[in-house]
Amino acid sequence: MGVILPIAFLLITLAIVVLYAMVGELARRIPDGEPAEDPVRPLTEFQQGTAPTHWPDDLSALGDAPQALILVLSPVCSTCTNVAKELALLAPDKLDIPIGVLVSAAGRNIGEEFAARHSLARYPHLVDEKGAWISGNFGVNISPTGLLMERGALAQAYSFTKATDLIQTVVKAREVKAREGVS
Amino acid sequence: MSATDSVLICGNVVLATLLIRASAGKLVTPGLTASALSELFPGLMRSGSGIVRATALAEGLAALSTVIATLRLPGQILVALLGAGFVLLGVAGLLKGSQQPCGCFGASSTRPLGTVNIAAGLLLLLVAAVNFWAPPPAEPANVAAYTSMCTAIASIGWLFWSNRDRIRVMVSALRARTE
Repeated sequence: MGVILPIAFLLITLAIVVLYAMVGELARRIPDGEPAEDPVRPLTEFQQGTAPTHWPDDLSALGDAPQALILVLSPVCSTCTNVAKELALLAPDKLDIPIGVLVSAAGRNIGEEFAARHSLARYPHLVDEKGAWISGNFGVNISPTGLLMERGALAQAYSFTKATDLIQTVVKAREVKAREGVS
Repeated sequence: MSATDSVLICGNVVLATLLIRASAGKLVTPGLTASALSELFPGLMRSGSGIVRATALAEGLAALSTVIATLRLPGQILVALLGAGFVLLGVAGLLKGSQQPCGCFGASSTRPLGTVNIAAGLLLLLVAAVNFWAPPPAEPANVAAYTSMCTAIASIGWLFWSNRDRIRVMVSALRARTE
């Protein structure tokens, strides 16, 4: 008995650590489960042309821009954390389209802590408590979501896993539109 | 409990905690360490994952041997071999300028093979030397019980520490929901 108990204790410890490693690995693989050939997916359930009743001061610059992207992130989604880490590595003034970040969080302090942790203050950003503004104006309650705004109105909503893929998709679509307009 | 027994407990707790974490990480994601190894030794490309899994099992066994009195010294030979291997891999990583994340403690280990592995290897060698130097424990059952209990606490504490960001967010969200 005296020998078995410590062995059992260590085996249980090993099992817990393995289980945790598996859960961590599973969480890391969830974004990879998205179809690789289509990492950016247009969302059809949002009404094109919808404009918010008012623009919060923090995002008002995006409302006036000819074209801008609002990335809706949440501190409790692992893909959003990856996107936030990706944004921390990008230079906001060198992007092909102005970007703003909306952090939808259960509490203001949670959202602010998330924004601070990933240096999101470099972008126009808003902590939206319980997603009141974003769901009230656009009906968005999933994250991450990318909202393409044109002169303050919603042009297209996207589901995405990487910010750079989303920017590339939007810029490519803009170029195609411009070419079609010329021809 | 004698001072030697206390030293043995402390050394073996550190050893078992390190080895359990390393073993679990490599069992779940052997591919990361295999890529780091194949970067140093391109010939290992095919058998890399198998070697990593075998190392993970050896690490698990070495951790277990710390609480089985009859396996204490044979287990330490395995620990010394693992320690020497880690030091050699760390040195090879430094010399060849390894870039791949080593995944030595699972997917969260993003550093390439290098100084951390040398330090971990030296620590294992030191604990093995202490075990060889120390006389057999005066109260083996007590030493095994304390070792396993403290290893469990240290392992769970390390898990909490490495997942602290996720835990903080979940706790804050739960608190906000109940307000």
